[in-house]
Amino acid sequence: MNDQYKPNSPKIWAIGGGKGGVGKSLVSILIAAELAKLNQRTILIDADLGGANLHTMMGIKTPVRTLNDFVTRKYSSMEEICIQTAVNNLRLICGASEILSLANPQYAQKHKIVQNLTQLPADHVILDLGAGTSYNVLDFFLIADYPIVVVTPQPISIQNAYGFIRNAIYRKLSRKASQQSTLNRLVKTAMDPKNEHQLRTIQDLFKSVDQTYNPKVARQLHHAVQSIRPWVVTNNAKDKRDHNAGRIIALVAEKYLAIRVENLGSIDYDPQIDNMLSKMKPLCTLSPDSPARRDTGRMVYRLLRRD
Amino acid sequence: MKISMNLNDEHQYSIMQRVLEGTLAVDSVEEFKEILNIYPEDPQLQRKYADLLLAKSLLDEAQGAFHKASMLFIDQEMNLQAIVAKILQWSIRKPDHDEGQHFHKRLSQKGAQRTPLQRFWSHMTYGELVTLMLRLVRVKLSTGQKLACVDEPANDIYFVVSGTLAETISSDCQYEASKAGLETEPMLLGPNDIIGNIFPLDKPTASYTDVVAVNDVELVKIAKPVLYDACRKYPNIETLLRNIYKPENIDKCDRAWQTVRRSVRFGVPTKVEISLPSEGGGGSQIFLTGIAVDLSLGGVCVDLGAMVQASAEEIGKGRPVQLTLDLLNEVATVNLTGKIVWQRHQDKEDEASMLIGIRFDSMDATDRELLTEYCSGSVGEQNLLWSLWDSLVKPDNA
Repeated sequence: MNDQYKPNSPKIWAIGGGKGGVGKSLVSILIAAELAKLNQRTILIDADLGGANLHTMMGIKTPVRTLNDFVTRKYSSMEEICIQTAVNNLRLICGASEILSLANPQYAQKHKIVQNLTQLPADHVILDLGAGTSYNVLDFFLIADYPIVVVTPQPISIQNAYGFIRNAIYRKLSRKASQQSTLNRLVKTAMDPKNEHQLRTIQDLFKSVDQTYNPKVARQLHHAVQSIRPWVVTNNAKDKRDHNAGRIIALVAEKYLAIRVENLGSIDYDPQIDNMLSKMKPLCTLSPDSPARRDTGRMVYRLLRRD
Repeated sequence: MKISMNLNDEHQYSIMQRVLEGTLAVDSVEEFKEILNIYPEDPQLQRKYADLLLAKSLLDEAQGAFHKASMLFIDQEMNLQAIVAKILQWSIRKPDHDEGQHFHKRLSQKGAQRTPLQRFWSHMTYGELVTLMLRLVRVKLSTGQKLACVDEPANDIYFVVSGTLAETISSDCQYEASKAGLETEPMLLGPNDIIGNIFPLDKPTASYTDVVAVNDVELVKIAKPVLYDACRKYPNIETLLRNIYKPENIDKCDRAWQTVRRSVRFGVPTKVEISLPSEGGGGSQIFLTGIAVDLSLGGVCVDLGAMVQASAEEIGKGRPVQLTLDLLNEVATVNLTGKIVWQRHQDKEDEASMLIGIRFDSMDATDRELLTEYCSGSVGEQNLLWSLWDSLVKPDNA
């Protein structure tokens, strides 16, 4: 559960994954459309601050309002920059790829966005994160109630997705340790995969903090890490074996990062999607009987049922 | 047992195969000679014959047979096997300088150079080759004997000379595979495969897999500390070892590359080449090389070693640099720009070295992706990711 949660706040979903082109935007759109179909007030936000293009996939050529209008105070609330989509209950906040400064927002700008997210009049807010593991991407990922990592069944994608989760964990630990220089140094050391102190797993780090720094702090760090519960979605599965991509990340994360990563399921390859993308048709209008919508429906049901 | 040689070709071939596999024991020198007369150019048969002569203490004949086997192995592109035959020959009688030089010349000029492992053996200088040959230890395993166990110390590097071994992934991976309803099969290792984690050279390592002999196996091993010392004396050996890990077009490579686990390259030191443009148009450009000791997406700390070809001022804080990182990636090296943000001397046990910290400028998406992949976990994490990939996802035909 994120730190900003209030009883009437929307549930925040963050869709990340490290590698570009794995289908983060597709998964974001499918989840948003599924929630909207369930009569949940849903807002989809293009949080790829460096290369926003979600609006194109939603069939909008030139957005009239973007996140930049909110950051630059043209509008005072994020609700004002929402655009209604063709889907009932689903609104969109477009990113602003033309504003380079937004690719790396200042802390105050980021804080402003996060604060406003939690005040949006919606049941669910879906953040489509950008590629990579910059602090801004990781910070949005870490505030989510449902942090989701998208992976495709290719080795590099799996490595990137695992690296994304690893970086998210160390980002959280770094922030916890930022005011304590010795502790911060220990965390930074452990983050280097080839560190010379033989800190190879998160458990090694906790042990080191426990023995050389402060047992209470070690427990706090452990608690902080355990509070991160990412879900993995395998996109573009073409074969039965492809469905195991998420399991790989779960197992390695359990052993080395001491966290439980849940394998949410797979979205089968759907030729309809390629067709729609090449014809620039809005993906939210994907046929309800398509395999991708069927698979996403199952995932959303599984997550909502847990609450 | 007398073997009739008046048999058809197919039957004769079958007999040779059985001799090589060890399922047909030929104890008579005369009988073996008869088989050799039919297959005079087969290096493995020649090697078996030499073994038999040695076992019968016919030392002069054994020397000649090992020499012949060694030459035949070179002709058949089997550099490692040629070296082992030569080691056996020279264990009977030490060679003189000319003999040693002659073998080195033959291996360098005629030895195969198609694959990284072939080049490893054939690209060494005479001194380097002799240093390694003196330090290789022969190991023989019979069916069922274990060579490595998961999580146990594995500080020897083995090169498979002949025979077959089975490598099994860890029980973690097997368990996960079984949960997914998949059966994991052991990977078979054969001649020219390497077992053990060469890098990091100066640190102990544990095995990530179980390795057991499927039939009679001959290997040569070298202990990591011994290899480390050899590399310190002859840096070219380390360079050649690094090159074994460089991915190449698979069509060009034999099993040697295929079974050097992809994850292991994460343990190989990352070589960094740095160039500093001349300041204000005056002076000349400076070129430095070092090893990355802390590589992240934001920057890198480079160990330049003790002999830095530049003054502290020339590599001072704020100097812009161009870097080439050799990530042993199939695609290419990564070329980046950045700035030196700190420098310091570090005293190690035996020598001092100069360290510099470089912060990268922005990089393009491709370089970022390559670096992200490279920085996404330790050797252990990468190994587990790849093992699981192999057993759970990799298509059967890949």
